[in-house]
Amino acid sequence: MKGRRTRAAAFIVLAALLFLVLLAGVLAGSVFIPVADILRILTFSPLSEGTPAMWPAIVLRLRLPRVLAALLVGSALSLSGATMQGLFKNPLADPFIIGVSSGASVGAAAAMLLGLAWTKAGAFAIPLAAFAGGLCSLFLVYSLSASGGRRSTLSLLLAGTAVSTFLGAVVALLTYFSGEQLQQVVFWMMGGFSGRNWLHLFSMLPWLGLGGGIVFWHARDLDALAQGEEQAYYLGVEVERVKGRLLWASALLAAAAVSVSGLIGFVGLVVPHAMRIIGGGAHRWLLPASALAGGVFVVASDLLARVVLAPAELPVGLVTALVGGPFFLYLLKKRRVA
Amino acid sequence: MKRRITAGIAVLLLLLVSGCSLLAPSPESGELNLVDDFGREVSLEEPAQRIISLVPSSTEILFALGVGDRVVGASEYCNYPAEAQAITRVGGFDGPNLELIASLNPDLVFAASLHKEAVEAMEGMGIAVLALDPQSIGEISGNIRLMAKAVGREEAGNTLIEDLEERLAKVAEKVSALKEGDRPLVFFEGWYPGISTAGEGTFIDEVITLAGGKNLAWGISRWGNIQEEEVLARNPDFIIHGYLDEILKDPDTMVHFANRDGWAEIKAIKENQVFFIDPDVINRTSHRIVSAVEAIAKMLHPDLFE
Repeated sequence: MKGRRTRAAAFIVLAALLFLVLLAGVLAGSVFIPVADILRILTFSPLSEGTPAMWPAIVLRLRLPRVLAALLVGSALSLSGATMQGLFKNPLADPFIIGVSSGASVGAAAAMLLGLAWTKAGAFAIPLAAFAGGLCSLFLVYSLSASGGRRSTLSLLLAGTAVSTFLGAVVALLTYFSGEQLQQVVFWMMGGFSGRNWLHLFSMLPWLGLGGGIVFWHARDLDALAQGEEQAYYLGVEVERVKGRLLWASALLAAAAVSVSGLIGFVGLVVPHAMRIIGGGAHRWLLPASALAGGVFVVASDLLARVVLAPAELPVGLVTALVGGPFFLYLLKKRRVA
Repeated sequence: MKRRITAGIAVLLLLLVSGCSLLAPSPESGELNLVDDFGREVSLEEPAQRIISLVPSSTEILFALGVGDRVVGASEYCNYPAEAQAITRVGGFDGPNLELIASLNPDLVFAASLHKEAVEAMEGMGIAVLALDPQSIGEISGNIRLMAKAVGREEAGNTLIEDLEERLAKVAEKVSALKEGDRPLVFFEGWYPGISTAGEGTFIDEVITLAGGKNLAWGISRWGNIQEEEVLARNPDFIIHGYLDEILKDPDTMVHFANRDGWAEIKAIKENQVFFIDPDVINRTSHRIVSAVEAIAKMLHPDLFE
């Protein structure tokens, strides 16, 4: 059992890191803008004479929403991952284990192939289609895994894997026929925040609020479930109902996040594990810590993705995997030595 | 002694004659020796009669050389000219279908750099292949010359190249007078979001320069994803979108550009200088690339091209 002090210290460090990466995310970028000017823009103070007209737009309409979107997506994905890992009592579980990502990919790829982004739906076509696809796959898994009114975690896992694999093949088929749009689909599947604006951010919020609220509400129940479903039942948890709610809530978090960012892997798997290594597996610690750390991780990854190849940019999902993988292995190794 | 001298002279004469025949191949053999863009040597006994083209640009050039009727197989993307759509399809996204190609019994196949494995396989099957890999518009002329020789239409090839160079020269003449400051900044957009653009070393970069513009994507090598804030900060005078041909037909598409966050401030959008170009024309390395140069030159400098 890790100490209360360690956890309190970890929260303070995470909060400080979050503040730092948010600041860095807005201050640094491909286009150089002096810090003083950025601060003036952020506080809506009058700008000095000769400030390029584009700077306020770059800071307020591109960088700020982008950084905040990365924060929300990172938080949502690792919160979802932490919940799934608790729910399935499986360390390999992640937000995408029940097929949300493949469903979202089918939706997004279909929207791209049909050229929906150039219709009236505009910038919302792809997020909407991805969100709908993610929820459809969840619904499919949920109804397929039921037997006699109960759902064992095993049948959920199996149905999730089967649906995931099947939808993965559908995505492959769609990309096969996509011809010149192929690259666009592939790029979406590597995740990123280019072209995401305030409206995308706001459209995510209600779903994240709902999903996050439910997950936090059931933090103690997750602790009980971690001891086994029978024990949880004796502890007074309505096992079936709570499991269903948590599944929907965490899938909602993942679907909403992915619909805006595209697929960003690794966050939902690695961040909760790292937090478990640092402060133990109690969900009242694990859930908020994962949310914070996930946000820090994705904002930092997005910053890297923007700076490394400037003026070009890297897909964020690539950065999270490249940076997250080795870091996770380091944590594992360190734990074993300790 | 005398006999020795005559024998010596005879030997010398023999050597001379054989030496001459070594230097100049006998005209009646008529063999065509061709070298493709990868330095591969291919020789044909006579101009190719049954041709397969795996690349849309080669198909376009073959039709322009007047030998479209000799093309017995083409890729799924070969859609120009319209007649090309009737040709037997021998492969699409998943690459050339080697069995189908062999069954068509071609005497020459035109391929591109991306067909490396298929080229080796066809070589192994004894099929003559020329792989083309032009890196600049100048090299397209070289490709046309090579193709014309391979099909025995060198005259038509020269005419095509002359026409191409003449049209390029006409554009160059008009835009050469422009000062550096008069060359508008052009942003070429592939897809959005995750905005892809054609950077340095691409054909599109060359086309924009020849058309009297300046490509906005400096610092990006070949195709890449440019950051949105760079597009805003560099503030293009023109935006040319060349990715989806369907949207060419939609007059409302302009709205999408203005609706993007922050983009309404961009000069090109404020001044309504957003254009679309047929991706098939600007992305293919055939003689038609001149049409792209002309079209963009007209967009950028309407006053020079009335």
